[in-house]
Amino acid sequence: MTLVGLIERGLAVAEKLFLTIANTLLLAMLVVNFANIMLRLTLDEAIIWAFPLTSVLFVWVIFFSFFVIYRRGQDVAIDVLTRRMPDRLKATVEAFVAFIVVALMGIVLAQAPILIPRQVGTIDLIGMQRYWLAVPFFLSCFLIAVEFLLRLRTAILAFRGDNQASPAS
Amino acid sequence: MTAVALFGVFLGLIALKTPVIMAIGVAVVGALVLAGFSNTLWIVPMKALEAASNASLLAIPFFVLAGNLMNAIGVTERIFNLANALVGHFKAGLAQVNVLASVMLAGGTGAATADIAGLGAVEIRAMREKGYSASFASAITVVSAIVAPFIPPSIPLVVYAFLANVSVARMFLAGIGPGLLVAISLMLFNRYLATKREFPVQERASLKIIRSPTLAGVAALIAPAILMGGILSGVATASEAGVLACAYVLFLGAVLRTLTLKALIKALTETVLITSMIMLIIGFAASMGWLMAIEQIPQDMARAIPDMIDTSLLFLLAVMISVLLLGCFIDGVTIKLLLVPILLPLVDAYGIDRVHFGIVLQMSLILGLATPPLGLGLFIVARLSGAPFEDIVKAVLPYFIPLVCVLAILATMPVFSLWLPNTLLGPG
Repeated sequence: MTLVGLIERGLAVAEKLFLTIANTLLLAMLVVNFANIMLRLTLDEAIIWAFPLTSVLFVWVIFFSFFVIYRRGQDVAIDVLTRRMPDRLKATVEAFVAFIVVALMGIVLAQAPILIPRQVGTIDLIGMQRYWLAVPFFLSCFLIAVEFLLRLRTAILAFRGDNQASPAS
Repeated sequence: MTAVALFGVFLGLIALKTPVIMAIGVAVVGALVLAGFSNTLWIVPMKALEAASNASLLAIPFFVLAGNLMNAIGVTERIFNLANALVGHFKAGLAQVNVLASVMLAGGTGAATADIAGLGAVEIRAMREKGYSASFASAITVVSAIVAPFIPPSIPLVVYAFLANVSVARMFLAGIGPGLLVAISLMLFNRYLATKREFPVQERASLKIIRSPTLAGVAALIAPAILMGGILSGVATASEAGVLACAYVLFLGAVLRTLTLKALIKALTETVLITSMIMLIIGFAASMGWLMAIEQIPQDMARAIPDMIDTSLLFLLAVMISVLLLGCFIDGVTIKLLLVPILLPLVDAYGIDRVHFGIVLQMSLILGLATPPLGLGLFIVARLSGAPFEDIVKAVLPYFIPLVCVLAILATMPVFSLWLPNTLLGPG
């Protein structure tokens, strides 16, 4: 298997894993909050860690899904202009977009050593260090950068007229 | 200069098919560097993290999940059957059913696109079978979905409440009157169209026929009642009310025996993706808001614009026109995130109630769902019906007459938005 094939396979596995984690966390949010409401209504007792835990799980749901959104191409993008372009120009634009996404993710990742030391202290009632909230975000950013590097390569191949590469793939 | 660079880069990238979250991120990073904040680029991930941790947006995933679960367990079809039993015999029967079903489902989905995707397939298929043209069936499906962001639980109104720092319960109550006004205006327009065109006629449903869809359909309508009842009674917070609605829909799915593991996973997957999209747009736009605040862009506009525009009504008119034009090209959440922080000081300066402004803004934004070239609703129904995009646009255009009239009524008569929240919750 080629290096690109290996990376592609790794990204597919990461997509499935991240989506499963996000779905499970959302289900956990639902169960914990439902249990909290029922306990409060029936026994007049509350799960005091339900709210902070829900907040943490919600942050993770968002950041684990971040990569999945791009892997599945589900972010909103407007193609009114680009779909009217000739193939080579379209490939150039796609290469440019892929490049700026990689650059943006690189800039965001470069902020990790600055941001994480600022996220100190434990989260009330959970006892977890605050910086753990940001970890899935940076993981997703890294994977998005890799995903768009592959798209950049595909767009360059399409520009050079390699028929085996489709800019959309 | 910073504002020009920020919006110029953003719009340029959007035109080049850059994904919207990335376009916001790149525009913000560029503007930060230009404004001399290159040492504070960590603000971008920091603001995304802060937005994701915001408690006032915690209700969104549960509202979205309740709607997706309703779709997944087949409630949408039952709601359509109920609406058909109630108004199917009216003139332009299935067009009226389409509107009423959207009002009913809006209480579960809270988003126009979910309404179109959930109900659209059922509605378009039924209308085609009865002899309606594909383009007309598509058009009424899109415009009827405009009701969805007004009837609680509305995700766009939760986002506005967060941005404008107003209560979610107040926004939800404010949306009910305008939502019903949109529905009534569409039904009246359908009635008017029926005098000009030949529409298929249906017989009035007998009590026996009404009974079975009514029971299942009414059971589905309890979910929005739980939501609003929970929030207004103080028994639950907005997010807890969403949890109760989800639990109820799961229970309903178990009773109807339509809840499967596959359906549950589908609903969860759609929910995490939609919710995360919204939250990431909010998160990246938050750093845009931070930069605009540092550069005092809203304050500068608040000082400059009153010199050009005398009255609050003219200001609302200017906002409506700008938003309608922007809505032809950019999606609603993004426009809201870009404009609300800039416009709020002006809204306050003109003495406009923030809740009223939120409703007018939402009505202007949601029309973008049905405006070419980028009306998202048009694309969804074109895919569902297979009708040519241009034919759907032609069929949609007449409906802008009632919809623009409703927008004008909402802008000039705040009572439609404010009466219910002020009556039930007291003046804001």
